Amino acid sequence: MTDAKDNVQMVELESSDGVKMTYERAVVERSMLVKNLLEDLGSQNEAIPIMNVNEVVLRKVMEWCEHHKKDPAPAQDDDADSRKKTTDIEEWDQKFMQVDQEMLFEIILAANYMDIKALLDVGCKTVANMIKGKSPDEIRKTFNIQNDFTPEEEDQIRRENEWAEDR
Amino acid sequence: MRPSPLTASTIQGLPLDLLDRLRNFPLFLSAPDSFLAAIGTHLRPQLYQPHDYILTEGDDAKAMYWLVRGAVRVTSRDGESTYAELKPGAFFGEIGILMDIPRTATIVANLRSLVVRLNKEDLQKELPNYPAVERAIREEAVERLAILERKKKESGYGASVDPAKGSARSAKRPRDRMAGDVEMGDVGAVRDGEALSNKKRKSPSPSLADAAASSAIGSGPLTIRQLLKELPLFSGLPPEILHFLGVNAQPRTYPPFTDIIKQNSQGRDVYFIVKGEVEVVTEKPTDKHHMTAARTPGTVTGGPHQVKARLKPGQYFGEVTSLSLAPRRTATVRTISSVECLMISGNVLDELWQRCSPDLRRQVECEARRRLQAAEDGDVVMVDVVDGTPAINELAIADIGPRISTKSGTSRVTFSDETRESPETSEDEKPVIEPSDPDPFLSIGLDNIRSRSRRGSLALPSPSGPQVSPNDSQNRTSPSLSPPTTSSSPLKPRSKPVHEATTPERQKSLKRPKVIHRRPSRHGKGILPDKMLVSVFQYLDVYRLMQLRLVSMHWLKLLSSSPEILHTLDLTPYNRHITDAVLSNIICPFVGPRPRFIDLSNCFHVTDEGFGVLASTCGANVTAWRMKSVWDVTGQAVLDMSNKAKGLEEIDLSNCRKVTDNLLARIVGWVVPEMQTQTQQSQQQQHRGHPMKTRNGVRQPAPNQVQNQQAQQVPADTATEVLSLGCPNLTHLNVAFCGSAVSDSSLRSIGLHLLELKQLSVRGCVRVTGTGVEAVVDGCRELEFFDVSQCKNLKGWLDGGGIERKGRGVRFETVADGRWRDHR
Repeated sequence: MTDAKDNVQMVELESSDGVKMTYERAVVERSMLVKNLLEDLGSQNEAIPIMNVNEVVLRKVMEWCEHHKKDPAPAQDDDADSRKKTTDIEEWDQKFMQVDQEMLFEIILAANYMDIKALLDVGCKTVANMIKGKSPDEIRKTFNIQNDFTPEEEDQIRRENEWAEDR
Repeated sequence: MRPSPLTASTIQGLPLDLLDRLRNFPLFLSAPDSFLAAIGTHLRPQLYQPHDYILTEGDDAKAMYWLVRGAVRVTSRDGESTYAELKPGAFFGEIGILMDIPRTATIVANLRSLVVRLNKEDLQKELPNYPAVERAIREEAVERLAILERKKKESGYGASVDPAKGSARSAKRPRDRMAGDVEMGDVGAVRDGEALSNKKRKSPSPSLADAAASSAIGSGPLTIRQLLKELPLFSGLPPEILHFLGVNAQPRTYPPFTDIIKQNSQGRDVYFIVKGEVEVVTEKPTDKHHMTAARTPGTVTGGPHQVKARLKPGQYFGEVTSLSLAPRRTATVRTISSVECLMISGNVLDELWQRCSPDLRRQVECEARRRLQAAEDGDVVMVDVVDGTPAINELAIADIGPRISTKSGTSRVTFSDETRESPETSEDEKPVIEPSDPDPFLSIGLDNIRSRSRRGSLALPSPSGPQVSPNDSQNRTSPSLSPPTTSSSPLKPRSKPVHEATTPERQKSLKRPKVIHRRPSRHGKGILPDKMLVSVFQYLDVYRLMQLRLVSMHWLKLLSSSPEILHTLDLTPYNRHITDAVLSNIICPFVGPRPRFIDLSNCFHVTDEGFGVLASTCGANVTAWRMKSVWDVTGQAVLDMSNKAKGLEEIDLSNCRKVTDNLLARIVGWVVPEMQTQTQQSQQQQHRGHPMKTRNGVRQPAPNQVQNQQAQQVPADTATEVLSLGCPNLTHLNVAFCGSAVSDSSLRSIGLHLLELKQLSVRGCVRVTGTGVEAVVDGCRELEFFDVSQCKNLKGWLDGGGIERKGRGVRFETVADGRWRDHR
């Protein structure tokens, strides 16, 4: 739904648990999902349902979008591929990501669903940094994964990893 | 310096050298220049390092190749069996593209090899305009396919070959009629050998060419036909029959003192001596292994071995049994010197009799009978043989012996026969073929023969002998089989390359399945979907990822197989741990061809060995490759790598001390008068340029940079040229401080070859003057930035306003602060 206020177009989003909230179009359009929907729908007045994201997470995501609404569109350049990806995260984002793990994953899932690449990147970087210092066991706990290796298999992999030990 | 080949060539854009070679390719002998020109524009040179796979059996056929320099093997898919070795001048891969079937064999480089590649589409575009050439090529292809197929069948690959076989069969008949055309090919092959040896000067490995030329049979199946023609017996045959024989004759080579036919064995094959001498021997009854021989009159009278005759080139033997005049070999035929013969199997002969006029058979038969009789009479036959009278006499002798002995020795004989033949052949194949056989298909023929004869003699179990291992029994029964060394030697070279080449793959396949054979459990997945996991993994380096494999089976699988990760392989943090073994056994198998960017800098333990594995396993998609101070890696390894990584845009070779101009130049093979390099360059650009160019256009930010900074053995102009040659689409080149190595002529070649260049630094290169700089500016139209700081000899040019006059708007850096590098 649009709201002509200071010439700024407003868009209403509806979270999976039915809560509606309104943001500037520039903000919600950080989400390619929403952006495309808006373009497809034209300027209809209905709230745009964000089906997979609940209110808490959606607000959090929108907080990020608000802050980044002026970011230049990401270069459609996968060239980052050929460079080493850095896990550096800008300060604001770091703070933004200081949430509990559950929320972190929720944000990532939401960013993925809503197609907000930059946010997804930040989330993944955060997770990557999180993983970096952790043992396999801790990682399993974090990701709610069960170890399904046999001891022999584990041994084998471990042996393969020995080459870089004692660095 | 030679005049520019370009100017001398009548064909535009084709270096003379290449043109010569093209002309000497058997298939193109009669082809008009226009065809060569048409083809020439499509040819793409490619370099392969030893053990590189050029073709893989079962792959789709996309191109055919000519071997310009080096040597390649035709092998089975697993590399276990070598069907043949090809020498310069040989071509391969035509079967697949002409018949539209998957690759029928695997081709592996034995030596560093330069091939030119002709893509299927290009050939198809041109061929219709040159029906004669098309026919020649097609026929050759059919011939080879038939041989290959036979060979495979013998070595137990029959099943997989079936489709190919079918087509070969069907194609064969019609082609026989066209024998005339095929001739061209044959002649070509022969000449090729000569041509190559004449060109030794240019050939990095003259010995190869020599070897090829020295082997009478070596030049290929085509030659065989010629040889046949020269045999008195066949001289009058019509071309189509000759062709038939040519297709089916199997060249064989035997070391000195080797039994070719064993007395009392069963075989119906006939041998025509091409080169060398053999003696016909009947064995003494007391001979442990050949009790049966006792009955032969010859043996009784003579010593343990009675020499009945000597046969020379042009003569043949073995036809008596072949004509069923005697049930078994009547004598043993043993080589005196090293011998090359053509073997025509009994079956082929049978067919021959049906095809040709009855006269021929009568003639042969009559001669054979005469011989046989003479042989029975005693030594008379021998004399005949020696005289070099028609081989028939000799044949008779050999046959006679067996006949007599037949009854007693039947079962035994068969065995020995088999053993004889198979071991011989296997020996032959290995030693002979590998070193000296220029034509791959020759060896194939050998195998076929072997199998046939075996079948005939009940020896079925042994057929596989040739490749896998001469059966034990064979070895036992035939002690006289010449040196065990021969048999073992072939194995060695063969197995070794195989292992090396396949090591990474094998390990990969061994490792993964071992763990993965179970299905990952659902609980191994965790909360994040794979897609996001992969995104996370993208931020982790290779070692971390390897560690993460421990988390769960699902992760292991994801990490091992997701194409989205490991685009960056940065080994620098682990430089001290990276050894050849780690690279080849652990990292490469895990990483696979995923990297786009490899940084090996400071991994100073790495040598060519590990580097080669890395390049071949992981190099295919790499666009940027840094290997600063990986100083044990040689220039050839680097070039090899650059050949693997077709999309390479950046190389950093700083401080790679073994990367010297000499090596680089040798790799490319052109001993580099400048002009020559250039012409070849143009070829290479053709073959590599297109894919890279497009890529480059898109991805500017990735600098194409070659750094040769401060190499101890400073790369000289040649190296620069070679680099330009190998990486024509570099956009960034840094040869700063290559001191006196980089001169104006380097710059000239840069201006000529590196047309995509955007940034160039010749900082500190004292020999650079205005001439070189202008050459670059004129040539590299894309050039945006040019660091000429600290170029002492450029001062005059700069001061004289050179930049303003000639700069063409390129941003020049004249004071060195290295800023430009920060732009990367």
